[in-house]
Amino acid sequence: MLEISGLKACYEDVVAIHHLDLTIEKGEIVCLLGPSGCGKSTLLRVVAGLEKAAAGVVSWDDEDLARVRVHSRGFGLMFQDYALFPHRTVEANIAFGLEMHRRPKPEIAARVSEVMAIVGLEGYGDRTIGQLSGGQQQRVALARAIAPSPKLLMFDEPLGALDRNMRERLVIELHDILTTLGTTALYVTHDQEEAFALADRVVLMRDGRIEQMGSPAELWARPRTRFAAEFLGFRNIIDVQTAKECGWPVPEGETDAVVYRPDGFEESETGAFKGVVVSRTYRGDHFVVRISPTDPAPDLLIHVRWQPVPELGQELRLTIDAESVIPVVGNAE
Amino acid sequence: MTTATVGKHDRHRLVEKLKTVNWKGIAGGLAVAAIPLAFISIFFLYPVGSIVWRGLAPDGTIDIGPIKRVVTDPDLRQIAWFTLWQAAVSTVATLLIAMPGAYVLSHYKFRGRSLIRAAVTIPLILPTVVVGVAFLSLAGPGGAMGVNLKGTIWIILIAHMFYNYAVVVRTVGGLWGHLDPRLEEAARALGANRFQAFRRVTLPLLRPAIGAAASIVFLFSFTSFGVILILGGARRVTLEVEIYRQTAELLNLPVAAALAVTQLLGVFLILTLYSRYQNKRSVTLNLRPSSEVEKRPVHLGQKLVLAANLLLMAGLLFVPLAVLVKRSLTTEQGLGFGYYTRLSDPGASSVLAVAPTEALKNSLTFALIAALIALFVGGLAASIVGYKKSRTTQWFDALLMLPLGTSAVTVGFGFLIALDSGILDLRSKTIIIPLAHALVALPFVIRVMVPIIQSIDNNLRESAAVLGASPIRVWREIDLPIVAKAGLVGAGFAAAVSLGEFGATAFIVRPNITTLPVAIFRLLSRPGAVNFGMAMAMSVVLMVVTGLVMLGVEHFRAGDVGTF
Repeated sequence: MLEISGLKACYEDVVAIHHLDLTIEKGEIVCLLGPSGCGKSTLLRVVAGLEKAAAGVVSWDDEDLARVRVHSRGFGLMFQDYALFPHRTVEANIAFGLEMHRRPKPEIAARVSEVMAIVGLEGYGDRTIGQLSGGQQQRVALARAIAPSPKLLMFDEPLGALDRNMRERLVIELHDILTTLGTTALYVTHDQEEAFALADRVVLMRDGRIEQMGSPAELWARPRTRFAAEFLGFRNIIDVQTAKECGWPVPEGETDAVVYRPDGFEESETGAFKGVVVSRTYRGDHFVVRISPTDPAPDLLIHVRWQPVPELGQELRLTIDAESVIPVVGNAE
Repeated sequence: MTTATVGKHDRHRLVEKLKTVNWKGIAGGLAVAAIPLAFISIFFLYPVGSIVWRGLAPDGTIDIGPIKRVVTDPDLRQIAWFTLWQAAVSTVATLLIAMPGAYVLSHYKFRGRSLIRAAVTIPLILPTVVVGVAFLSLAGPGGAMGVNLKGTIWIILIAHMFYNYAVVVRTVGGLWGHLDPRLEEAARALGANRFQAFRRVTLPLLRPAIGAAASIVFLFSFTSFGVILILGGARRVTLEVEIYRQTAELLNLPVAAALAVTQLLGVFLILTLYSRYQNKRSVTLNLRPSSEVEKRPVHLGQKLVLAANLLLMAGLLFVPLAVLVKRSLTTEQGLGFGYYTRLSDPGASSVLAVAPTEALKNSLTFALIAALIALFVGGLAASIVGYKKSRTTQWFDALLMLPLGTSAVTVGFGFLIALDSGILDLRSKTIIIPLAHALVALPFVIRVMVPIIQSIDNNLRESAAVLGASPIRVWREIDLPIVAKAGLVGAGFAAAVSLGEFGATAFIVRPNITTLPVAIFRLLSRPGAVNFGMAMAMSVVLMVVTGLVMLGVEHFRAGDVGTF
């Protein structure tokens, strides 16, 4: 079990992490999600032992790691650009960690072919790194990281360099491999879809602090802050003041803004939302309709799954179900 | 807040800051830097400083007499003027003739291209003496072309173009081959014709590379020594040649020193103008892989352009060397190895105190020693420059590059007048020759090694560490294999430089010790077909030996990592 408590870390004179607490259970896949500069990579590097903490404790199974050097931690780390050794073949790259742990040669050979099968690289052992495609390099990096069976496997934006299609395919494969192996994993990304597809728990970070954490479903159902809602791609985030002036539903309790999920709208003669359709785009199983309410309200986006689809210029009157109204705290930046 | 608390706060911050300073790292860096610094101080700054002192104060007090003579003496003024204009003309001519070559070799895909690309760089590594002899055999007295151009500007110009063609092809072509072709296409789509697109888009983008190439060519031509000494005759004399003549023939050290100071000023001026220009001109370019730029020549026009350039390369680069080889095999008795067999005969020539084979042995020994010295000093320097980029290491780097901008003649002359007393009395010791060679080769070794060391991605080291490699293992597994290769390449370059070094050696060599280039020059200075024949044969031997060394270097470079 990885325990991080009261962690503070600096990166080139700037405080990158302020007093952070986080625990990762064995076998859990945790994704650190956040925009660039939020401290997620620094956190990863501190856990790996590549950066020093300015304050706080990082421990594994109650053993403080402060005095344990990088190479003795027994963790694995996969870099964004893979950092494959250009002077070694695919096989020799994968064998590297095992060699460092002084495993006997036959065992190394067996383990190398085993992990090459896991990541689907059979027959590529003799290739040099320069002969591989981006996706293949990514697999070699994964194989190299899992070969020594690390206690904790870490990923620093491992799919960032790949195109969208490849990324979507590899996320699924990666998820299957990680759950099959039962590895404890810490995964850094700025892509929320990647995080949601992989993680048991998502840790959303902002400016060196944890903004919110929970299972993907929890985060998706209930972003607590305006930043979380914006970062997760929610639309229709309206200041409470504006919402009240427009007569739109506002939940009880202390909130700074309200999110109206585009999915939750339906047509109603008595609805609180009124506006004219100003644009309409087709999205496969639904239409995204933008309506322009009366001032001072901003435009709203509505997902329309009903027939007939509203025409441009048509006046709409809508209501929203209570679950699709989410209160959030925090102001716009 | 009172001032006292501010002070306390600042002090606290200072203490915190000092804690984060990596004292161990700084101490280690200084220890490693000490040897290159000592080397460059003793064997470069001190000798060059001595020249400047001698030039400005020949008798211990400042006396601008000799300097004034350079400006007022019509002969010396004539020499300075000739040095300048022949360098300018050489630069312009080389650019004009080599730009199309740079385009063709960076844009057209054709069979045998990589071979030709390698072949055009051969002149770059050829000893100047070999080039001089090759052009003498082509267009000297009794030359293959039937006209004697010795002592004319034409033969000097062509020899400089021969030498520097590859500089332009490599420097300009290196950038041109990676320029985004869509930029020119965009210009064409916006209504520019082919010429306008080139002039308004491509040319400005290439300007840094053209500026760099032009400065190098100008500097090479400005400080050209061997070529002009051999081809210029008595009529065409540059500052370099005159420094040598004043020292070796007239024993007029004050005037030689004054000339050397003038020459140093000229070099300094060129380098300053160049760096100013580069700073002003830097644009961020979106470089593309060469595969997006290259195409096969398909139209007749493209094929003609390609053919014309290949023909030009053959004529300029290949013919002189071919003629040299052919004439070295043509004795008075017909084709044969007559001149070569004479090389092992100690009594073959009264000009040489020792058998020419002895010179070969010397050259190889010196090359080995010079390579080891340059590798040791340069390796230490490169590991500092390549490891971290900071203002301090940049200054350090610039300091070690100084010998590159200084002519070999200046180095040799400086050795001659400075290393003459105390423990530095090296003039009578043979080691002075490989030391001079190592100094001349040092910048090359550093420039070859630094990019390779820098190409080691720090992620690789971190990656190895995470996988369980201790710091020593990391160095052994990641740094060593890559640095060792860089070292071999650097040492090879140093050996090649040493083999062909003539300018510095000419000053410090003693009559009973010769290197190949010096022996060739001594043979040339005597009349007679046999002497000239032996000079040609030795030039071929020198060319082959240098070629073999560079071939070895290329072999190790082939598997380079991190090249674009």
